[in-house]
Amino acid sequence: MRRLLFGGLIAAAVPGLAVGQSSQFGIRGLGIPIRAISPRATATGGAFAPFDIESGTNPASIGPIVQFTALFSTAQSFRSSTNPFGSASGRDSRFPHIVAAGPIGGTRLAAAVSLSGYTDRSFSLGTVDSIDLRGTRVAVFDTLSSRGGLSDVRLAGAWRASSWLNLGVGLHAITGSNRIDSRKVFSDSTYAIAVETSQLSYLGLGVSAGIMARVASTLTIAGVFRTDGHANIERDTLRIAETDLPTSWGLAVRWQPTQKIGWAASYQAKNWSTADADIRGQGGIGAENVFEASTGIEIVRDLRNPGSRPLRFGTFYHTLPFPLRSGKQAHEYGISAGTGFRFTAGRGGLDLSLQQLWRSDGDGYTERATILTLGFSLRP
Amino acid sequence: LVVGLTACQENLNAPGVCPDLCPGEQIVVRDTILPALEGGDSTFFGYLSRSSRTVLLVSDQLPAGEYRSFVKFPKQRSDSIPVEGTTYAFTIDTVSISFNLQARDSTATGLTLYLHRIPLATDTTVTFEGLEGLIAAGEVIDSIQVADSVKSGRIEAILAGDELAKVATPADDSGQIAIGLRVRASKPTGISLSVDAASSVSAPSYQLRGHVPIADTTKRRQATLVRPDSLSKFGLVGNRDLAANADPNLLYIGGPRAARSLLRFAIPEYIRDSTQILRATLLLTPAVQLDGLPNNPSGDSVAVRGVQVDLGSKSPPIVAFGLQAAGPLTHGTATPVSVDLGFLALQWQADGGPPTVVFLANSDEVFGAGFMQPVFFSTRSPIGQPKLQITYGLPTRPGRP
Repeated sequence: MRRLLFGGLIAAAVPGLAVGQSSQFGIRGLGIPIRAISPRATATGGAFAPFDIESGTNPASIGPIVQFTALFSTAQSFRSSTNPFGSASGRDSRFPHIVAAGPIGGTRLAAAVSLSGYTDRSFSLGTVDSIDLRGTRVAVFDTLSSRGGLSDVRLAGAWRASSWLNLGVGLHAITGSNRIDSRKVFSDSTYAIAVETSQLSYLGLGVSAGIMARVASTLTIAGVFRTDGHANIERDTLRIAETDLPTSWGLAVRWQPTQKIGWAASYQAKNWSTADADIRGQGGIGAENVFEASTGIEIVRDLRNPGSRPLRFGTFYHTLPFPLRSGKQAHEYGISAGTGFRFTAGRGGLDLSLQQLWRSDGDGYTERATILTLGFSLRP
Repeated sequence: LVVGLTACQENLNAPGVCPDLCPGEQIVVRDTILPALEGGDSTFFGYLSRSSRTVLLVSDQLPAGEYRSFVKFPKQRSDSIPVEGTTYAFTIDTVSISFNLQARDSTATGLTLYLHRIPLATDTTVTFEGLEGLIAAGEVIDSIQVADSVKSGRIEAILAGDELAKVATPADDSGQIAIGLRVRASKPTGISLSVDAASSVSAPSYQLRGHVPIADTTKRRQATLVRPDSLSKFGLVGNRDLAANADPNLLYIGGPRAARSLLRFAIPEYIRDSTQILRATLLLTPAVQLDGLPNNPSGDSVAVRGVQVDLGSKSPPIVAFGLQAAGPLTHGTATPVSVDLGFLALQWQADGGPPTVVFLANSDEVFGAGFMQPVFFSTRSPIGQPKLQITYGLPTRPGRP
C-alpha cells in the first residue's frame, strides 16, 4: 500500500504532464479525447484495455493483481494535417499515462492510482492579413496558440469476489488547464506586438464502476460504466462557466483459445452531446456523442515469461466529439502493433507500440499521425 | 535514444485561417487621437546651469543665428621647463592650438576656423556685439582649414618662426592668452566644438613645443600644454533668442534660456484599463521654421520624458532607460514632429503608474547649447495643437471552446 501511495504521489506531482497528442481536431470544445490505456493495450488498438491491469479504463481490471506494478509511459507523435487552408506537419511529445497498482495485503482487494490524459487542446494557428492603420496598409500576422488539456486522476479499488469475478469502482478527479495565447504581429515594427493570454482551469469529479468476469475457461467479458458530472471552468481564477461531461459505458470480450493467443474486442459509447448546450453557450460549435470500437490480438511467445517479446496487433475506429464545423463530426481509425521486454527477472519492463492513424471530418479536414508509445514498468 | 533526443521538441502548427477555424476572435485594433489637456501645457525656463555647457558654437550667416565663442588659456611658464626634476631653459619653436570638432555641416566646403587674439579681460558677461567687436578688432593669430572629409575630431593650428610673435604675451600675463573664434565656409555654416571645465582631453589645448639644453638628445624636445581650467575661461554668445519675449501661447524648448515644455493628457479609462497600447505617438506642430545646423549627421531632436509625479515645472522626470523617447527635428522645415513614446505609454497603464504628463526638451540640452530653438503650437493656439495618437488592441478573451 505504501508503494501504491508513493506511485500516487508521483502521479499527482506531475499533473501537467498527463496530456496526449495535439491535433487540429483538438482545436474545438475541450480538445481531442485521450484514452487512459497502457502501451500494451495501445498496441492492440485498445481492445485489451478493459482487461489490462496497467490501463485505466476499467477499475475491475486491477482485481487479479498479485504484485505491485508501476507504469510510466511516453508518446511521441508525428503528424501531418491538411485542410482547405493548407497543410502542416507537427510533432509533440507527451506523457499520456502513469499508473501505480497493487494488492492490499491479506485481502481480496486491490487499489490503483493513475494519472491519464482526458482531453488535449494543444494547437497553434497562424493567419496573415492586412489592415489600415494611420492611413497606411500594414500586414498583420495573427497566431492563436493553446497548450494543455484535461487530465484524469483516478483512485480505483477492486474486489476479487471469486476466481472468475472481479468488481471495481473508481473515483475520478478531472482537472487541468488551457494556456491560450493570442498575438498579432505587425509588419511595421513601430507597433508593439499585441498579446492576450488567458488560462482556463477545469475541475470536475466522476465515478466509474466495472466488472470483469471469466464466463468460460477461454472467455472473459468486461463492462464499464462511468459518469463524469460536470467541469467547472475558471478563466484566470474567475469562474465563468460549467460544462457537462459525458456518461459512458463499455463492453469488451476476450477470447483465449490457447495460452499463447488472446483476442479481444471492445466497444464504448460516450454521450458527449450532454456538453453540447454548454459549449454552444460559451461560443463553441457544439459536441456530439461518440463511440469507440477496437479489436486486437496478443501472441505470447514465451509462456514462462509472457511479457517477453509478445506480438500485439490491433485496429480501432473512433468518432470524435467536437466538430470543427457544425454538422461535420470527425472520426479516426488506425492500426497498431507492439511488443515488450522484461528484464531483471521480470522486475523491470519495457512495452512499446506503434500506431498509424488517420483522422477526417469527411469534408476536407484530414490528418495522418504516427505515434510511438513507450511504457516503462516496475515490479519491485 | 531517438525518443529521448526529440522528447522536448514540439511543433503544434496546424494550417488555418481565422476566423474560419479559430475558436474566438482575433485581437481587434483601434486608433484614436487625443488632444493635450487644454491649458495644461506650459513652458518653463532655466533648466541649465553654466557648468552643464560642454560645447562652443560658432556660425556664419546661419539662419539659426550668429554665434561667436571665446577661449582663455591659463598661465603657462614659457622660459623654463622641468625635466626629470631639473629645470632647464626652454626655447620655444612651435605653438599648437587645437580644438575638438564635434559637429559641422557636412556639405559645407572650405570650412575655416579663424582664431583672433582678444583681450584677456574678456569674460562670460560679454555680449554678442561686444565679442563681435573684440574679434573684429583683434589680430588673426591663425586659421584652421578643416578638410572637407573631416566631420569630427581634432583640428589644430600650428605657429612657428615669425608667427610666434602673434602669441607672444607680456610678462605680466604669465603666458595667458584669450582667443575669439569665428568661422567661414563656402556657404552659411556653423560648427560646435567640445569644451569643458574639467580640462579633459576633448577641451581646447594650447601647447608650447621647443627644446632644452640637455646632453641626452632623446630628451631635448619638450612640450607643455594647458587647457581652459574653469567655467570662466570659455563662453559663447549668439544674436538669436526666440524665447526672448516668449509668447505664452507657444511652447519653447532649448535655446539660450534652456526651455522645457510640459504637456498633460487625459487617456480615457477604457483605454487605460482594458486595452493594450500598441503604439503611442506624440504629435507636435512647429510654430516657426526649425532652423539648426544643416546636414549635421547627429541631427537635432526633441527629447520626451515622462514624469514621476506632476509638480509642474519641478516635476521629476523618469530617467529609467527605455522610458525616454526622441523625435527628429528636420532643419529648414515646419513639418509636424512625431515622437513614438514606446514603453512610456505602457507605464501609464500600470497600476500606480506615472501621470500622463510629458516633459519636452531639446536633445542638445545635454551639451548645454545648440543651434536649433524649436517652438511648437500649444493647446491655446488656433491650429497645430499637440496631440497624442494611440493605437490599441481590444481584449477578446481568447479561449472559446
